[in-house]
This record gives sequence, structure tokens and C-alpha cells, in this order.
Amino acid sequence: MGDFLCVLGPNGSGKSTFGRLLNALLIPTEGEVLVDGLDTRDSRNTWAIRQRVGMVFQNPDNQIVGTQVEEDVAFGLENLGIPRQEMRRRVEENLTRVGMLSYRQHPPHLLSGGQKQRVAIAGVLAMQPQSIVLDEATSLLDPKGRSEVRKILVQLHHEGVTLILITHLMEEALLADKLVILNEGRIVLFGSPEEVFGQSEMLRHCHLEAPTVVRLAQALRDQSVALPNRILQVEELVDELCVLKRSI
Amino acid sequence: MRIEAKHLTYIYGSGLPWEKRALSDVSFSIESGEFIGLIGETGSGKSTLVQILNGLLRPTEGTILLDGSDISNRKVDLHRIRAQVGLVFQFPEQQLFAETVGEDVAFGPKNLGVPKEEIGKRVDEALLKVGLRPQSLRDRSPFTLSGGEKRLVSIAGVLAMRPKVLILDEVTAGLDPKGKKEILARIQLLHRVEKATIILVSHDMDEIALLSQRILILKEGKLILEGSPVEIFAQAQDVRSAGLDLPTLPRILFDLRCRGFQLPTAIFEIAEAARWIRKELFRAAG
Repeated sequence: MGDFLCVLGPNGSGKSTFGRLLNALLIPTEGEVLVDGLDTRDSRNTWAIRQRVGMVFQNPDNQIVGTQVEEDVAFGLENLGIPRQEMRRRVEENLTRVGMLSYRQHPPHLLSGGQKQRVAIAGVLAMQPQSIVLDEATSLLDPKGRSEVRKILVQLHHEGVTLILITHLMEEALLADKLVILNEGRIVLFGSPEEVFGQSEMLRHCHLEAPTVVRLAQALRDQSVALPNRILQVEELVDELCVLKRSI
Repeated sequence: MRIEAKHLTYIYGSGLPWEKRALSDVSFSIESGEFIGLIGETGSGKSTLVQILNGLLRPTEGTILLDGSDISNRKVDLHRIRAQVGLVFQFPEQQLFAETVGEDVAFGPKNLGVPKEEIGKRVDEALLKVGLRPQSLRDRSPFTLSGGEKRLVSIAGVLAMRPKVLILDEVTAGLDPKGKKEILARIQLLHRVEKATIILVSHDMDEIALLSQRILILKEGKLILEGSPVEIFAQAQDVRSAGLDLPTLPRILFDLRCRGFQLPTAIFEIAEAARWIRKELFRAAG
């Protein structure tokens, strides 16, 4: 509960399949998935599971159904038969959470990609799930849209929502506490970002690369610049180098 | 093919209450065989410019010369221009439609009226240029291919028209790192071996810095900066004010500079950046 897990791997490694197994969009051929103790193989559990595990997909245009932002966010709640009063409250609360309340009456097709994904996230949040699976939710967005969505993810993580982020973008993986790397349907690496990004051989084997800042820190260590092992963010590297500069 | 743009202006819905000026007074020239990176935030006019270059839009004002001939002239045969300036749209794989890869790639030359005997040759040639094997792919359905392969097939479809200029709009968006590398390597080959003039439109500054010989930056429909990657990314402040980010390494170097390090920002290789930082650490130590 409350973990932020990032799933990485090349195309065809099974990332999306893994995501879809989590909320019973797919049922495992062998093995089991338990969500809050509920087995996804039992079709009586399907709706309870999907309410607990929300999903945000890659293309915002494929998941927006309403003609107005607030209508779109209410869609899932209508399907659950939530009373009107409660529905209004949840729509407002969750549009506020993603910073889109002032757009409540807007037609979604006039929003930017990043805004659309935030509306999609609000729609999922309105169902009050415990976890959200995001399947390459930022890969079609421009840099501004990406950073908007990432900010929301960091905030949701602080609020205690469990996040499972499927991505190709290494810099994005640094937001997570735990990383899983899949290759050909198997887990090849699992651990904290610093543990995983330290395994450059294995990463290369999976056609992946540690983020630039991690590789730069390594290149500096290789040239005997005394940096600590844990450097994942640009700010950390800059701070450490400033400390070094003063102490030399 | 040499491209010369003079005072290009484009207004959507000119004269209407919602008219929007997408480009204003943009002038530049591109030499034959150059590799250009075209960047700017969403809404800066990149797509409009690119569509003018291949004759999909006519500029409201200004002229566009391709090898000296003016294509903004109304008498010009636009089909010929579109064959000479190939445009690969964003997510081009969404436009794949035919039953086989061969038919899909043949669509462009067929429309140009290329004789039947020659079409087969062009299809094979185009597939080879993007690194796909015609024998094994020609008769397959494009929909059975991976995302990266589909995109290569779409590029082949444009190459089969034998364009002199190739414009690629966000050609690596949404691909995994491996697919990205493959496509970029192919594009570099097209530039080096085929001497194609290439215009790469991208939000990925690392990609732009690595590939382009010259960069054009648009902001709110105006051309605000022009220069080599080293020149452009040395002006970190200007790039940021255009709503753009720096490539990853220049971003780190810029942050260090703000904290008193004396470093250049326009460095695109990790080993080189590490050498500079190390040198600066010891210089400071005296």
C-alpha cells in the first residue's frame, strides 16, 4: 500500500500485460493475482477489483467519453450508481486535486494533451481506487504535458495512493521508490532506483540505459571524483559537486 | 535541394473573428544536404511551417523557393512538390492501410503515375533504405509488425516517392529506447549516404542536439534563434525563454553554472562533461 512502482522494459517485454493483469482486464494463464485478497480469476470479484485498481492509458483521446470535463469525470461514478450529491462532491474534489477545476465546463477536445490526461486521472481518482496503473500515460505528451502529469503523480504518492507506472522514460522512473525491469516476460531486475541503475550490464542487455545524471555521476566517480553512491536527481548531483568544490 | 523561405506569414481563418496568426515574417534558407532541427513549444508554428514547405498549405504572405523555383505561385503543380518534399507525419503508422507492406509503400509512387514496372523496384529500394528486408516483409500485413517496424514502413512509403527533402515530425515519439535508436540510426544513414536534406521536428532536445547540424527555434510564429547545437545551447537562457528545455547534459551544466561553476553548457557527451567538471573542481582548488 502506498508504494510507487515503476515498470520498465523494451517493447514486447510484457509491461502492458502485467498492468492489465492487475485489474482483471487479463486473467493469468497460470498463477494468481490477489487485489486486497480478491482473486482476479473469480469473475464475481471483477468489479470490486476494478474499483480498487484504476487504469490510465497512453492515449488521452481514447479514454475521454464526456462532452464536458465534469461529465467525463462523473462517468465512472454514474456507472457505480453513486448518489447525485456525492457524485458532485467527488467530481469537484478530484478536479481540484489535479488542478483542473476551473475547466469543469470545458469540452475535453479543446484541452491540451497534459490537461486531458489530468482529467482522465481525475476520473479514475473519483472512483476512490487504492491503486492506479498508468500505462505509458505520458509518452504521447509534449514536455510541458509530461511535467504536469508527473507533478500530479508525485502529489498522489504523497497522499498515499499506490502507483504503478509503466514507462519507457528513464528520467520518469526516478520518481518511483521501486523499479521492476521486465525482459521477454520475466523479471530481470527489481529494487530501488539506485540498485537497478547500478546494473549497467543488465540494462544494456535489455536495451535500456540509466538516466543521464546517473551515468554522469558514474563517469565522475570513474575519474576519481569522490561522489557518494546514491545520486539519482540532478539537484543531488549539483549539491554534492558544490560540497566537493568547497572542500577541495 | 535548396530551400529558401522569405517573409513567410500564415494566418488561419484570415478575416474571421477567430483568425490566428500561426507564422509571422519567417525567413531562412536550408542548403542541399543539410540536417536541420526544427524546435519550438506546442503551438509555436512548427506544423504550419512544415505543411507550407511541402505544399499542403499556401503561405498567406511570403514566398518559398525550392531550388530557386517559387512554389507559392498558384500555377505550380503541388503534386510534384509533395513528391520532392516528403513529409512523415506524427504517428505515421496510423495511416498504414493496405493489406501488405508492399502495397502500402507502393501507394505514393502509384499516385505519382510511376510506371508499374518501376514501382516494384522503388518499393524494394525504399524498404532497404530503412533497413527492412523486402523479401521477408513485402507480402506481410503491416498490422503484424512491431511499433518501430510500422513506423519504418511508413517512412519507406514516403521514400518510395524519392523525395529530395525529408521532413520528419516527432518521428520517435512513443517508441521504446531500442526503437528510437534504430530509427535515428536509419535517418543518419539517409543523411550521410543518400545525401538527403533532412528537417527533424522534435520535442526531444537530446535527439536534436545529437543529430542536427543547424537548429531553428520558433516561438509564437516567429523564428527567434538559428545556429549550430553548440551555438544554440550555449544560449541556455534564450532557449528556456522560448518555452523549451535544454538537452539533459546542458541542463545539468547550466545548473552547475548557476551555482558558481565555470563551465560551458553546450556539451552533449557524458565523458566530455565529466572531464570539464573534474577540471573545474581542481581549478577551483588552485
